[in-house]
Amino acid sequence: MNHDEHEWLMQESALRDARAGRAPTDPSAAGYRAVVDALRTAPAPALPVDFAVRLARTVAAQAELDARFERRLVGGLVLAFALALVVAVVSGGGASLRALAALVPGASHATFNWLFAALACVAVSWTMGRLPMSAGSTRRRSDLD
Amino acid sequence: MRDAVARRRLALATVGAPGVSLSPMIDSPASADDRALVDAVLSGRAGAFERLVREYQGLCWHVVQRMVRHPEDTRELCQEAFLRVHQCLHQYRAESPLKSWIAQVAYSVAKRHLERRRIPLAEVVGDGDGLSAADGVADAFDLESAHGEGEDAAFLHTAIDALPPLQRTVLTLYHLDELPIGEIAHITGLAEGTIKSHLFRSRRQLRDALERRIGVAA
Repeated sequence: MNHDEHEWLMQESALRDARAGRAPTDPSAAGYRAVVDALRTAPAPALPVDFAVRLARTVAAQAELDARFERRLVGGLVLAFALALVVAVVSGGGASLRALAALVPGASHATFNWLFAALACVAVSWTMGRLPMSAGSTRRRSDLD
Repeated sequence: MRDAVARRRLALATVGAPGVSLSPMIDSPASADDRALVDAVLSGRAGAFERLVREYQGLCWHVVQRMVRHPEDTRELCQEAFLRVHQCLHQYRAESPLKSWIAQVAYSVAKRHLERRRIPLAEVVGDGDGLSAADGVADAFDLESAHGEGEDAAFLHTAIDALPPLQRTVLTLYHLDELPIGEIAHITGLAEGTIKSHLFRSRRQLRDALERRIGVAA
């Protein structure tokens, strides 16, 4: 065994003794015992006691912000799509409707008009129903905070 | 001479070590508790993330504090580390203990902080005379007022603080957090032999510095 290997064993022996809470078994490793005891002391000061609570609150607030941003983004995209649809129908809808009516036997132009009016009603009621619901849920969440 | 060459090689290997990857590579897998805690956090269960932080904030503090040594910076970096843990937890594959994965994130955050400030991570051995920052502590420490075991401990803490960030962190993970050498190698991205070498040399430096101090005081 060379000198470095012997030294390593002394260091490890001091560590084992310190972990077991017993006096040094190898008297020549006494110097290492003092080193090991110092290394086993936690660096001061520690994190604040409410660190975990505050961090969890920050993460929750960030997640809520992200979710709100996502909801607004989806709402904006739906609105943009609806506007694009309206523009498309107004600009070239008449010709498309006549072509569609010709494809379905027994369906007149008026039938499609009523069908689209009904779909528009459903879309408007769904949109109106969504708006107060999301505002209400945000209020409820902020009450909890 | 051979010792000096070996140390220079070690210093070069350490300075040129690759960055920490988030992919676990060690053999010991995560415990059932680790998996349950991770699942709870990922499913957004109330209080789960707070429990995770509470469980590992001590370890995170040890790693970051030993690296940067500045309490205010340490607090901010610990916060950054846990935010990153929360952000990347879905990448955790449970192939290593959660403790080791979180220590790896904390180490990586602290290492980046030091790199931004151009603070060297490891000791660069140049002249091969075997002296280091820790060896100079005996001169700087107030020997007139330092006697007894309490003062020895205070002296050793000063000497530990004088070691380079990597050595301080490796010593802390091994002695205070009682992590095995394999896990420390995984956390730091260094070879197990390099970790052993850091442990051996740093402990010997501290022991020598203490013996010199006791000799001078006597």
